[in-house]
Order: sequence, then C-alpha cells, then structure tokens
Amino acid sequence: MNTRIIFTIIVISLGSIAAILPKTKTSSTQLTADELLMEMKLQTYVVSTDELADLLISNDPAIMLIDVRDSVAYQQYHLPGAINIPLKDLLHPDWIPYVDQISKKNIFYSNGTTLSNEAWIVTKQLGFRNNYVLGGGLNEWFSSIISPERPASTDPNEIWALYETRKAASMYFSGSKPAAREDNSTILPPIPRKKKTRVQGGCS
Amino acid sequence: MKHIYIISLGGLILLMSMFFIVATIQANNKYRFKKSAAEMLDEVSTRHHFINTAELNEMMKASEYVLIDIRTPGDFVGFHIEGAVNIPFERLLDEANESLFSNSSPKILYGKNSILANSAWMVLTQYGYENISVLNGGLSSWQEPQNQEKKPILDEQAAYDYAAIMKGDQGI
Repeated sequence: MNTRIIFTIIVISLGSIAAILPKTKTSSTQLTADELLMEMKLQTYVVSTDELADLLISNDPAIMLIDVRDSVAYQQYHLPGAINIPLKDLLHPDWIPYVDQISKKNIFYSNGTTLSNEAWIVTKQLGFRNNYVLGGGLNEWFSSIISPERPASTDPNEIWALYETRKAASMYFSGSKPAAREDNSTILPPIPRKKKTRVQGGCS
Repeated sequence: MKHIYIISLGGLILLMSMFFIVATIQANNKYRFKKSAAEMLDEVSTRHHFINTAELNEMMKASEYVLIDIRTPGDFVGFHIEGAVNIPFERLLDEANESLFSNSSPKILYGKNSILANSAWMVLTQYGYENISVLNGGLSSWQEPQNQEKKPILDEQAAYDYAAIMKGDQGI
C-alpha cells in the first residue's frame, strides 16, 4: 500500500514537470545572446578572400554571393554572380527565401566587414542557417586577390606560393572574364527552409 | 497517520521540483533577446550609435561616462585611451558587468577597429541595454587625427575604385 502511494506521488510529480517543461524549451536554432557572443569571438562564419577565390574559380554552384550595399554601389561594381539585398531590405518578405534556406552557402559582403557583419547578426538572431561573411569585404578582395602585393625576395616559400596563387586568381578575375557564369546566371530562388506548421482541422 | 506523512513528503518533492523549474526558466530567460531582429535592423540602419573621435572628446569632458576597451588584456596594457576600462569581448555579458551596462550614464565601446565593437553593440542592444555608442574606426581613428571629422563608417569606405580597376583603367 505504502509503496503504491509513493509510486503514485513520484509519477504525479514527474508528470507535472513534464507538463510544464516543453513550454520553456528553446528551439535548437534559436541562439541566446551569450552563445551569439561566443560564435562571434570564434569567427567561424567568416570566409576569407582566398577561400572565396577558390570557390568562384571552381564554379561552385552551392554558393550565393549577397551584396548588402545599396543598389548604386552594387550597379557600379559587384562580384561575379552576386545578387543585391541592401541591408535595410534584408528582412523584406521577397528576400526571406534567399536568406533563410538550406540549399546554398550564402556569403554576405560589403566594402568592409561592418554591414555584412550586421546582416549576419540579424539573420543569426532569427535562427537562419548557411549564412557567412566575406572577411574584409571588397577592400580585402581587391588588396589580396585582384592586386596582391608582391612579397620580398627574402620571404619564405609559403608566402611566394600564396602570392602566385593569388596572382593567378587575379588574372582569372580581371583578365579573361568568366562570361559564361554571367550568361547562365538565371538565379533561381533557393529552396525555403521547411517551417513547422500547426495541425489544421479539428472541431474548432 | 503514516499516509499524511507520505503525502506531505510527496508534496514537498512536488514543491521542490516546481522551484527547480522556475529557476531554470529564469536562467534561460537571462540571455533572451529583448529586441527582435527587425527592430535591430531598423536601429542599425539609423547609425546613431557611431560616434567620431571629436564627439568622444566632447563626451569625455562630462563627468559621467564609461569608456570600454573590448580588446584583450594584453592589448589593453600595451596602449589604451586614458580613462578606459578593459572588458574583453567574450566577457561582456559576465554577471560582474551587469551593473555597469544597466547604468544610465553614456557608454562608449571601442576596439582595434569598429567591427568587433559594433558586434558587441548589437549583442548588448539585443539584450536590452541602452545608451551605448561605438567609436567609429576604433583605436586606429583615435591615433590618426585626420579621421576626426569623417562620419561615414570608416570600415565601409571603398579603398579602391572597383569598377575602374576591373575595366583596366588603373593598369593593375
């Protein structure tokens, strides 16, 4: 008799815990502010200009470059294949399928890293995945890839190897223009992330 | 008699588990965002939080301000703006700093440049703290007085005429 009562009480208390817990459970994609701080410190979302050059040269179909500057700056110059989503329009319903998707690796860029970083933080807060930032932005792209600085003759071989790779990339991007890529760039909207929908129907 | 004892014991367990639940909810809530992403985007777009060195000098004439250096302690010891306190970036949300940020006096963040300081500003603003500014260009603009009057984000200044370079006008 006693054991049965104890058992009942334990079941009821565990049951009441279980009944309350799901309400407070945070979604796995939703970060808290201190997790966000840690991720920023580790800089795991930053793509270097060398990595981007590799991706563009290998014509990687899984990357999507997103220019977050205004449309005037975009029209003057933008990276090959990039689309333009000005920072202030980032959460416009038309653009949500582009920034909240699972099929591509989005790389935000601006002249520096401030605007692209802001775009990343805003999308991260919403739990969007697959978004990255071009470290140093266009300024870094031009100083490291388009016109790389010639190292001193006394520099170690690795630095020269890097320079030669960059010089080759520079010729690729400024010499023979990758026209094919521009022509084929019918940019399809990416596959939107599946949203959990509530069960419809019933006798409400 | 024994039943009453067991029931009260059970009630106690129930009560304790309730306290536990409430405690975990509050712990989870601590770092919940207080501003939505859309609000953050609006706030960022106004750019009211970027100040230049001239404005910083003006603010430092007042008696109440907190100047926060977000670089590593090593960098801070090497050189820092006089009157600054050092809170490394990853420690900004430490409990010890809570009173500092919830204080109503103006707070200015700076780093080596303004990129990380701006990230710090966004996190602190998302967390609900107010009256925080970012030194445009960070320590590098403090050390280069010619940048004093510039208001646009220094990091976002185009260093090249991209279009001209790509056309080959500048012979690179």
